[in-house]
Amino acid sequence: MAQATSVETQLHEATIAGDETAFSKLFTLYSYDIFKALKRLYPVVGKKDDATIMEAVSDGFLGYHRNPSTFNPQLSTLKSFLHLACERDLINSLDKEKRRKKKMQFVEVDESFGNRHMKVEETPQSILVQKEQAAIEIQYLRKSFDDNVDVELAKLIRNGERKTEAFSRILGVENLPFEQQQKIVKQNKDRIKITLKRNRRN
Amino acid sequence: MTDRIRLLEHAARKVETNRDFIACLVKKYLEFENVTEEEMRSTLQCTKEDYYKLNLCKVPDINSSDFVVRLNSICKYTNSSAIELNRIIKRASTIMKLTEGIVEQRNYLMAARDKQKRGK
Repeated sequence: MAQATSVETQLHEATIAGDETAFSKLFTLYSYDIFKALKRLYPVVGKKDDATIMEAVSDGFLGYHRNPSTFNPQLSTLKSFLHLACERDLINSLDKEKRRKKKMQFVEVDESFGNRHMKVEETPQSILVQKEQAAIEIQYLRKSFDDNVDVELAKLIRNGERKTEAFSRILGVENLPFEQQQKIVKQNKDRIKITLKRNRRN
Repeated sequence: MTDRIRLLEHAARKVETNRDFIACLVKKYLEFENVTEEEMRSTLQCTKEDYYKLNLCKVPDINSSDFVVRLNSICKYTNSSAIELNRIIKRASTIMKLTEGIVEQRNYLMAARDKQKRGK
């Protein structure tokens, strides 16, 4: 059974002793490797929104920092302990998301939400048509929303963007904790989708 | 921005509400003094990566006898200016005490108002 290396033992003891730099050193040492490993293990999540993995990595390390005595240097290396902690946090967060999606009653079935990534052969005519369509769409969105931020959000939704980061940037909440960002983004997306749906009916 | 720095930044943002971490003091300082992160980095004379590493360090106890030793160890690790960090930590601690005082006072006042209302 692998035991903690001398560097790991030192950092673990420093963390327990309340050393000011211990957490930062540990995070710098292992967070990137663990992040990469989780991205490999969960490629779908990694491609869709790697901020979820980042969140799990931060949570895993902070969990250890809050309660370092849960780690036993005789039983495993600190790296594998942290890897497990981060992976467990990631699984929990994915389960939570799955449950949330199950609870949702509405499903995107409108025409405008489907076939977003259809590739059209690029000819001068098709480019012109695309440009015209884009202009019409922007006009339509400007009629539906007074606020430019809402127009930008609606554009992202219609383009099939799913990353929280993209929406956070527009809403100007990228500096908030990720969970808060997700909440704010969801509220705004729901609001925009309802408006789009209502306007299509009219 | 590389993934490595994004990770550090993400973790630093996450501990901004935790008073144990320098990130919390830095956030208060930036808000109160109306300073940008870039300005702060240039004041501390450190890189982006070092800045986030600094944010992930714990706050040394200002009243401890070995405060300077602890401060120097943080600055050595994050390649930042000890004089500036010392100034920022002390200023941010004062800001936090001051703002907490205001909140406490407000709470006392609200409690007093409640009592007055009930008295009537």
